[in-house]
Amino acid sequence: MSDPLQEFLRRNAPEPPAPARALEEHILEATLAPAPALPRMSRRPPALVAAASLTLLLLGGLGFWQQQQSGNPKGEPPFETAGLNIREPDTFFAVDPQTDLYDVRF
Amino acid sequence: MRVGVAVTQVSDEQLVWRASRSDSQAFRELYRRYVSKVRGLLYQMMGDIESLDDLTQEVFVKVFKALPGFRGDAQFSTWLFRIAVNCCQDARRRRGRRPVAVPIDNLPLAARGEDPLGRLDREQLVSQALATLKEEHRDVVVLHDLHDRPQDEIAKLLTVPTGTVKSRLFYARRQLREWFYARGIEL
Repeated sequence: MSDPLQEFLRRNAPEPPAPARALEEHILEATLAPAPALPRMSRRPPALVAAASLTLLLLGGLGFWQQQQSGNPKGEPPFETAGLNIREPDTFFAVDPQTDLYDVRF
Repeated sequence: MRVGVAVTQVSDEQLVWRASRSDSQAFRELYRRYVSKVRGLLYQMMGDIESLDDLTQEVFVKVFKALPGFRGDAQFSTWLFRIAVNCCQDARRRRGRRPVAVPIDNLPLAARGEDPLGRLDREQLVSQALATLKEEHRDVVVLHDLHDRPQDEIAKLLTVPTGTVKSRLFYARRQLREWFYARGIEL
């Protein structure tokens, strides 16, 4: 080894303290112990979260759809018909309550 | 007798083969063969005594549990070092901070005429010098200069190009020389 720095470092490398006596046994126990079975709940939280998210999405979508279906949206003024020139149609169909027949009136 | 020792010496490959079949005696033999090297590496890279036993356990348990998957592409010792280095890097991330670096200016300078190595233990001096290095420089110096690992292997261990290893080694050594020089030690 030609580099004096490298030689100095190697000769005086910091040595760690001896390991605890029980360390070997602990390592062996941890290595040879059978792998613990996965707890039943371990996969459940993600499934629950997914189901809850899907439900919320469906409910939200349904609410939005219902809102679209129900007449006037909130905040919009009612449709004013007084100023419009609307007249009854000249012709229309009706049912005679006595005869249950269609009747055309002019 | 020398011949007898040679005959009874079981190779790493044989021990690995037996240990991968849960032979506890083979585990023990591998542990005893490599524990001092692994602990030295962990200690020099981490600079931390408190977590040394835990980290040693983490390395060996990982190694032993992964033995059935060890294909023998590399030497067992290389593979072991790779896992030890990975454990060190994980431990540093868990710790969330850089190792306690000793600022150069805060360390006592040797008085004129005094033998600096007589005042500070040499090992402690090297330990302090290593602590002043950045982690990536320190890792390279520890692996190359203290554990004699070749640069190509270090590059693979640290997943960096070999040129990066060379440059880190160059700058780390320069810093160490300056550090020792400031304490009256010319290397």
